[in-house]
Amino acid sequence: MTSGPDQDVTVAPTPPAALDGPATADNAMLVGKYFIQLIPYVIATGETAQWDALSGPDCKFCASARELGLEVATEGQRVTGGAIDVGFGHASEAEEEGVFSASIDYVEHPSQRIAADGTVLKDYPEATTARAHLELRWAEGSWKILGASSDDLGSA
Amino acid sequence: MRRAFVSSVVLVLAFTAASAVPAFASASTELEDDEAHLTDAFKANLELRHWRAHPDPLVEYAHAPLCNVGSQYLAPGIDGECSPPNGTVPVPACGDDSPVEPLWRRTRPSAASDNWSRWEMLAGWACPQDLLPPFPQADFRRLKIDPLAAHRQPGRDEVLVNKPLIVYADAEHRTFRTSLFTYGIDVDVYPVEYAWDFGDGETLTTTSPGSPYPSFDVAHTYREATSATVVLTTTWKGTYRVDEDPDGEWRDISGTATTTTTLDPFDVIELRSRLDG
Repeated sequence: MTSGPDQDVTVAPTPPAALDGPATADNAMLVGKYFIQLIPYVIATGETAQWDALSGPDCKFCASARELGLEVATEGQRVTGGAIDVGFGHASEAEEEGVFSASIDYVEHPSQRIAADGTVLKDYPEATTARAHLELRWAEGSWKILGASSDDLGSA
Repeated sequence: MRRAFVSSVVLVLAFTAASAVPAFASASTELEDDEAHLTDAFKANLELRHWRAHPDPLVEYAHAPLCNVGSQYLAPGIDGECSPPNGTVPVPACGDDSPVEPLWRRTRPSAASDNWSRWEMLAGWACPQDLLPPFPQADFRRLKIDPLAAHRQPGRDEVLVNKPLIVYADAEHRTFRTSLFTYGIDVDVYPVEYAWDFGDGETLTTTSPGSPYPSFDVAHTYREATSATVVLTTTWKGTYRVDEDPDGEWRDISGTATTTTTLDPFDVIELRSRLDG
């Protein structure tokens, strides 16, 4: 199952060919979509290898998801749900060569984060639509996310 | 990168009864945001708006798909010499909106001169959404949001230990009229979370504002006599609408802001039975 709330978020999303370049707006958009799809995987499994490879050094959004994934893994927490279905995406090149702005619409399905002792730490009972804004750079044969933000648009 | 700040916030209180406060949230949107990137299209459009408000005879702007005087198939979009690249700019797909044509600029040394420079492309094709201002979280936190009114029941100066004290807040939207990057905007903020501190070391956080007696939805029981001050910290989210957005869309504001409401202090006392005498 590759969409909807019952997707297995512990399965890593397939990396797109766009990761190998070249630096085009279309590829930036596809890399952006992949980045968003990685979020529930990172949070549920604490596996950050692919995430770290894409994360720019000053990207607070990237660091924030990484910390959350590591917290879940090291404190024996459990995440249920949280799958993401990516929708419309758009990217354009910025003035600086190799830098792109992308916006990606998506739906995040309901989820819960549960402590090792069974306490519910976070409960998101509603599926929500959201729009992420990313800034990406292609340099030396790879993409980096320079920064990202994501806003709720309402319930799905 | 230019930053503009929310200026002269005019506080308008709109008392719409909010029976159920929307609590849209998801793991991904609660991650920490990086500052909004101002796209070239947005910055170029800001420059164009400024020029329209303060015309400068030394500069001219034009929107045109191409500035290609050399093509035999396409008529040039605008008069005059163009700087390369001449027109090979990607056109984005913009969902339901039509893309906005690239913005070009040229200058001349004096108002009397006809010696215009070549047209330079300031920004390529963009989606209309890209021309609307972002609302950075820092600006959201600068809004002076009036804290919610909060109440307790009983409301007497002395209440009893081991008896529940009901607390509740008057959940409301608040609306503002302000500006962002010179764009007039409406802002609507609404409470999403209530964190009560009862002053005895106990706290309670809910997404419900609570309600008056006989509802014990949000209540606290003091176990010891004490002097207590109840403090409510409200977390707010918001949406904004840009005057110039033809869709009049309410757009989400990044992040949250908080306000504090402090109730007057009161005493918690024990009811001594006369028979104790």
